[in-house]
Amino acid sequence: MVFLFPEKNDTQLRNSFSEEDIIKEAKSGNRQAFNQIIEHYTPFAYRLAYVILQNEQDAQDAAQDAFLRCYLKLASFRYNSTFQTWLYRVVVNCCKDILRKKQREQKACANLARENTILENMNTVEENLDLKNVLATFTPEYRATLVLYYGFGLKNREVANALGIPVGTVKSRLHAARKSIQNYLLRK
Amino acid sequence: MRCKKVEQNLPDYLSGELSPKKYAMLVKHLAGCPACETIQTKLKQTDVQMRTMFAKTIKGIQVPNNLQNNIKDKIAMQQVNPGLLKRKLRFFSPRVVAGILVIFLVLGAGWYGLGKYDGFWFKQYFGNNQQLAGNYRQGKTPSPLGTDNDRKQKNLQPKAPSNKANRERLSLPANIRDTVKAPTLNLKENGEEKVKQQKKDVLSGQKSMETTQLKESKYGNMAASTGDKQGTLAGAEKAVGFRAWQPAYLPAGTTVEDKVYWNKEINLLTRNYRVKASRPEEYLAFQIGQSRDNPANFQEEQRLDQGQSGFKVVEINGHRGWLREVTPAQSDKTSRGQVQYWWHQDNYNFTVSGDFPLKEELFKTATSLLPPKEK
Repeated sequence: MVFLFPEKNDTQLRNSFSEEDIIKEAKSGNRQAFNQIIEHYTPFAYRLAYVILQNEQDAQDAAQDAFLRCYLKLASFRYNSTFQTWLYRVVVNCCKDILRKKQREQKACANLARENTILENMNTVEENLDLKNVLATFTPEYRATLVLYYGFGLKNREVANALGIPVGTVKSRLHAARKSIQNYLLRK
Repeated sequence: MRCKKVEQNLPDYLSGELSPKKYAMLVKHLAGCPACETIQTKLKQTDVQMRTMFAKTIKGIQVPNNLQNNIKDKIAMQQVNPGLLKRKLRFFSPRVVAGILVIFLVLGAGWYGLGKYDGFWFKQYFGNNQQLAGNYRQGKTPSPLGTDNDRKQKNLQPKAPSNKANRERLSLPANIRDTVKAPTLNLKENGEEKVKQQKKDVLSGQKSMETTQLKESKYGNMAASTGDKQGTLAGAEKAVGFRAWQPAYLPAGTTVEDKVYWNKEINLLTRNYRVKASRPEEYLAFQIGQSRDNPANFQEEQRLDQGQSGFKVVEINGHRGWLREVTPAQSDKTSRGQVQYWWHQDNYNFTVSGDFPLKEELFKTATSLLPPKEK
């Protein structure tokens, strides 16, 4: 990832910076550097939030909250993972908070605790023809796992890191979801 | 690798997350297993399909145009500077404050406990009631300069005979002499009896050879008591600040132990001796102790111990002394019993103690103690 942002000291003009340089600048209080991070990652954060929450307004709120949290907690980011993974984790946590808060997502929250339940309603899979609609039938946790793995191309370990779960759980979720979607694709 | 294991590892294989070792095994298996190869092909197709579909679906989600600006505005409203926040956290984080508090609490509790604790170990190392750890008597250690009381009491003490001839002429009162009579010392006979008993025990199966062997006496083992240091005689004399008196008479076959023990706290100097018995590995032991003490303490002890049971009064070198004896236990064949003579002379406490069979010999040794010749 290459960012461009105005240097604080204009006499030393530098055009390109690595992600680490940008984060260091942002940590030191450079608002421009953080704006570049926002510009680069907003689509990812929003889409991830949208897939999990299945609601445009909630996704926007989640993305805004996530970036605000990142900004405030940037000092505690210690490069234990990539910034991308860290941001995804913050987004997922924001989504969880929103799901908890909203009355209409109480059911979804209950599903978060029930790990064995893959789909909210298995019968609806057959009725939906679009993958977007198929995704909607999964629980938020499964949706997040699938999107991070297939949509954003993260590895198992990175998905586990972003969601704060063991790698084995990621694999089992992917296996179960894959089977369901395979059935859907075959019938399609 | 078996087919079931291969099937489990196929997703990782397709996403390139297998270890090189597993990857090689899986490739080898796939080359020779058409069934697994078919599953792999299907899975790969599905994987590609899903990635394509997910990519399309994700891209199809339109990001609101004003979202970026909204986020930037929201952050612009925040006055917190992450850099400053980090510096603040470094010095005033709850962890740091909690850590400092815990350190203060532990130090404070330790200090308070040290002040309050009045137990054995504290007394032994820090308090002045050190008699618990050794033979220290509180308030009885003479000051190097001496006190008025010391000088007064010194005049009250009967003086020691001035020469050896005078010492030998000393006789005990008739009643005391009777009390000092000891069984006839016949080490050879005792040794033979023990050997006989030992053989009898072994033959009857009651005891093994090891258990019937003669044990070391109590006095032989108590050479180094708590707080004692050991070294040469010259070193010990230097440490305690007085010269050791030498016995003019020692039982036949006596050897003196090279090491001399001393305790600076109670001005005690101890020498150990061994007397050969009938068998080479057997010996009898005795000990001569000398400690400098305030004569006032002698008077006190004379009053205290005069009527005390367990002690017999004897006269040694013209001074009042005491005899304590523990006769050998009949039940224990290895028991030798103990005997101890104890008296005060010329600002010193003397004690000659050892195994009971040496009773008479030790009395002779005790009465033969002489101050060292001036160099």
